[in-house]
Amino acid sequence: MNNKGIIFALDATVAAFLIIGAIIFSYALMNKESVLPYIQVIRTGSDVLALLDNEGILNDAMEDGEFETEDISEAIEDILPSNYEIRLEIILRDASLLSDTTTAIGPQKPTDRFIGAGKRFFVIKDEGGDVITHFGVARYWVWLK
Amino acid sequence: MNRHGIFLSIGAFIIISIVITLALVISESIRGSEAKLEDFGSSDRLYDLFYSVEKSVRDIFFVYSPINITIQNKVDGTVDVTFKEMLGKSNDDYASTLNRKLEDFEDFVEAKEPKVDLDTSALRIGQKKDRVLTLFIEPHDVKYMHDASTGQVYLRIEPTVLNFNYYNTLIDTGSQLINQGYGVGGIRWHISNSGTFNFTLSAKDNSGYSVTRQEFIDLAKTNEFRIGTQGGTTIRVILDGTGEWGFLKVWTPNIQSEVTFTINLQATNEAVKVYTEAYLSVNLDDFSKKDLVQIAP
Repeated sequence: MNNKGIIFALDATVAAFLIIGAIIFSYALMNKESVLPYIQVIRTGSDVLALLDNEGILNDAMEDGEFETEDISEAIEDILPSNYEIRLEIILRDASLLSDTTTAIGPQKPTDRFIGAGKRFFVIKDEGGDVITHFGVARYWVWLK
Repeated sequence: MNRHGIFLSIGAFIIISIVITLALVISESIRGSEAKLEDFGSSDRLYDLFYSVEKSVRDIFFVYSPINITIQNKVDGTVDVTFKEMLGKSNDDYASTLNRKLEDFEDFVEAKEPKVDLDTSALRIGQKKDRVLTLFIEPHDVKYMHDASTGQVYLRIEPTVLNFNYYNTLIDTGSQLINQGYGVGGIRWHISNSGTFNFTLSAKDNSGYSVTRQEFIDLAKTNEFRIGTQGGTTIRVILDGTGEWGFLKVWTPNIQSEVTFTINLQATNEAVKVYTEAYLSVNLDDFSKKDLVQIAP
């Protein structure tokens, strides 16, 4: 009778270990899957900024010495997939006066989810393309809605 | 009965070991995924920083330097690399604005991102001891040099091996009209020996006059061509046989002339690119990239 009790106890212990193992296993799998899309988040931010730079949208935002952000916001709306949000902080240095101005575009960063970030340098030319008027650095933060 | 107990203990031990091993493997795998995420993130940031700074330097260079570069792939697989620039300008004319802009941009980049080290001094020729701006055509290893070492800017082409087919040089003397009575139609030449290398020299001026001279020459000998102008000065084009592979030098003393030089390179599997001596390095976490700044295409 005693032996049977021991066997039951051991059986229960083994079962408990198996259940705990299964819980750890599934928790780990869930975590593992949630890590991979982060790479896509980072790449999306990087691509958006590269497009803004290569298509000349950052350059063309400078009009009569003023940095107009409307066109950049509109371009982001067109480019960025609807389930993402992005915030840009653009620092411009006047190439003659060497003074800096900072402009922010997009919503505030959330605190409860993964945020991808990166940075890109660029220069702004005048309309004729024969004078560099500003040096710029654009920093982005991108996240899933 | 005792034996049953032992089997049971061994069985339980094996199952527990499997569960623990499984948990460890998964935990390592998660850590691996996170590390991979950091790696991907860092390599993307590195890529963005490196290529955006390189592109900006390229933009500044092409706005303020007198040199234009085009690379054209031809149907026969060969590649024409063409440099176009004004010669005869003083070093200060060329360098002052470009130098200042490059220096200011360097300061800006390093202030905003300390992990980037940008050295554009090789492009700021006024501040170099030898006052020579050197561009490299790769993978053919041909040097194109804008040389201000003698006070007057001239250009030199220095290939290292015979991996090119011909040189074309067009010199536009602008308002300094060509003296059509000089040599034949304005070009005089001193050819040491005829050979197999195809060299074409053309000249034109603002009056619409143009003259072309094509010769097959021996690269191992020194050959000199001169273009005469009505002002009395001459533009010298020398294929220097003392250089092993046909160094070419163009002087345009006291005359502002636009020189268009084309070198036809033999076919290669690699894409032809032009680099400067300026270097850029970015160090992020375990990732780093250091390279010469690519200026074309």
